Amino acid sequence: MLAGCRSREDSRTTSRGGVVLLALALLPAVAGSPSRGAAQELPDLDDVLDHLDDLYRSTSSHAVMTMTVVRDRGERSLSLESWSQGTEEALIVIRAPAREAGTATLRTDDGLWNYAPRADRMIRIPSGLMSESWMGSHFTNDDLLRETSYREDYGASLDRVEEEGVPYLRVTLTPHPEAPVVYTRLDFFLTEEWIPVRWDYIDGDEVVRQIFFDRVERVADRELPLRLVIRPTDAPEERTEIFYELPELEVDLDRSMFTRQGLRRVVRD
Amino acid sequence: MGLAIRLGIRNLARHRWRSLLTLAGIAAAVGLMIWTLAFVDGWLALMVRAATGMETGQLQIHTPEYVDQPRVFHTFTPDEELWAAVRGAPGVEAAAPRVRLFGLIGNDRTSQVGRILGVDPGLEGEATRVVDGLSEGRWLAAEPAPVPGPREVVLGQGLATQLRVGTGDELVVFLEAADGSLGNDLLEVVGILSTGNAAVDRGTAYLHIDDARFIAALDGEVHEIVLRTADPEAAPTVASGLDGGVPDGLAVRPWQELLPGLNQILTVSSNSYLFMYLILYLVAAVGILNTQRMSAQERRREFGVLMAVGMAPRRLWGVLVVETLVLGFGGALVGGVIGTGIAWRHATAGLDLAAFTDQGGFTYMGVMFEGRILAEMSVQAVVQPMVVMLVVALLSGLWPAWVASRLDPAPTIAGRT
Repeated sequence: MLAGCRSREDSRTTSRGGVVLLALALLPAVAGSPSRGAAQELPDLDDVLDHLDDLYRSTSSHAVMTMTVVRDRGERSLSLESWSQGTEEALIVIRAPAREAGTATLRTDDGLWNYAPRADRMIRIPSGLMSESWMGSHFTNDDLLRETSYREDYGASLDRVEEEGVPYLRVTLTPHPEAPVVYTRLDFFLTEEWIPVRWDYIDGDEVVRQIFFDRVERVADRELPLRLVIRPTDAPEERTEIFYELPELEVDLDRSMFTRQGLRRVVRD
Repeated sequence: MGLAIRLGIRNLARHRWRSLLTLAGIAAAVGLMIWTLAFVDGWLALMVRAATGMETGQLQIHTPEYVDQPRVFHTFTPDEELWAAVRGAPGVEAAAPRVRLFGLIGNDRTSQVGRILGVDPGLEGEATRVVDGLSEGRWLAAEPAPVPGPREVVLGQGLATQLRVGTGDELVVFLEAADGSLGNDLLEVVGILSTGNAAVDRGTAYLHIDDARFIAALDGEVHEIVLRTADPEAAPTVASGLDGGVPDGLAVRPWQELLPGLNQILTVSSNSYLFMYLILYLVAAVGILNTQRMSAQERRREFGVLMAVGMAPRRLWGVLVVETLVLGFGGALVGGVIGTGIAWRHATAGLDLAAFTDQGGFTYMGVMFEGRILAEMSVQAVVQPMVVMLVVALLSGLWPAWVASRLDPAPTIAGRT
């Protein structure tokens, strides 16, 4: 099978959950969704959930992006390059600054690894560290590696809400008791075109973090917000921002890049 | 007085078995008390040694921000003046700089979040006894390994087991550096530590301070200075003496403050002596009281005659009190010898903990108790129980003697009371 050409039907039957690659994983794909635009009538919940699950199921992707981490002590910018293939394989490499260049994260169906360029070694990220920060950002390792399916691991409801005069579609997800989710509820706010605007992660009654999506552009056949800003609510002055400069979808990738040897080749380019 | 003692011994000998049994009770109480003191002293000394001696030290110096929140960027740069002030302070025997980091340590199979201590290998060995805890391999070399070779690391036993590595194996470290960037490097395990300090053994990796600084993007800075004092008990005094001497409002804290839990346990344990005294000596006191009261009761006629022929009540009272003291002294002496003997044995050969747990050891307050515990002998542990027993014997003898000395001779002799 040619890399990168898995069909939509194919991915629906073979995968649940799968890779959330920072890169295009979080890039919402909004093409081809049916029943859009009927402003008064609610869309079909299952369609929306499938669509949201598909946000994390790029067939293949390549992107160059800038990640800016703002902490109380200052700001730091990283240039990242990422690739993903199917639902299980993903690679993110830090390209700049020089001190961290070559540091990489590899996800395969066997697990998650960081690559330490100075040591030229891989280090496995154990599942106990899934909620830890990814590369010092406000993203967690789990954001890179979502193992849940909105459709299967959550109870969902859909409604329309208005915030400051702007109408949104709201998907409310409540994890099933056995689902490996640390939050008690997720609220996803979408436009009528199903473009994500804001995701609230709720623990107890409190919103503990939010992801904001903006700078929507047309990429290939879809509308994509090119900027994500994640804010922890307990530290309002802090945030991590990701800006996608060159997103490409449905690209042909050499699948060997998602191995240790392939990773080294990519990193040393 | 000599006569009173001779009289006392003779009187006690008249009821040999009763006296011997009472004496045995006293001896048991004293012996047990001596052993308890020696054992608890040994136990507490072990806790203090393992907790402070291996890693915490007796005093630590940090920035106030680090005390508040231990973050990688809360550092200070000690200058010659500070080192001189710290090392010259009365009571301070050694001082060592440290870089304290948290990071991911592991390989492509597994990894763990660990505490990384960047130390000056020589100075750390002076300030703590961590080098004594080496169970395998060797301590860090005085100079960092030449670049680009792997950097040396000495791992706690538990961490090594979890990572399934031994000496000679390679590890990768990943951590957030002081500038917010990600430090990473290759390490080679050169030694394994089994110190008895749970924090060290289970989750600490020692690196050369220069290596740790490189990985954490620090330049000559430290997170803490660890100090060893001659007397652990004196640490708070040394700390307050140092407070004026260190610049920049650095926080100097003794181990009693760094390990409040341990300090509390020590206080509670030293107060628990009192309960042991209360229980053991109360039993002994009741035994003495019983014996002496009974014996005085039996000798009422004799006492009546003595008083009738002119013995002053005060004198009789004195003879009876001395008699009790002789009994107490004898018991204390026997108990002292036996108790000291057993305690001595446990102070030299140790007490095998396997007798109490089937796991062969346990962890309490961050200290691992394994193998044998050594009791600790001191003059106080031997002498105090004996002296206290004499006081208890004296007190228990007072009442029977007082009652006996207030006899009315005539009706007593006539048997009319």
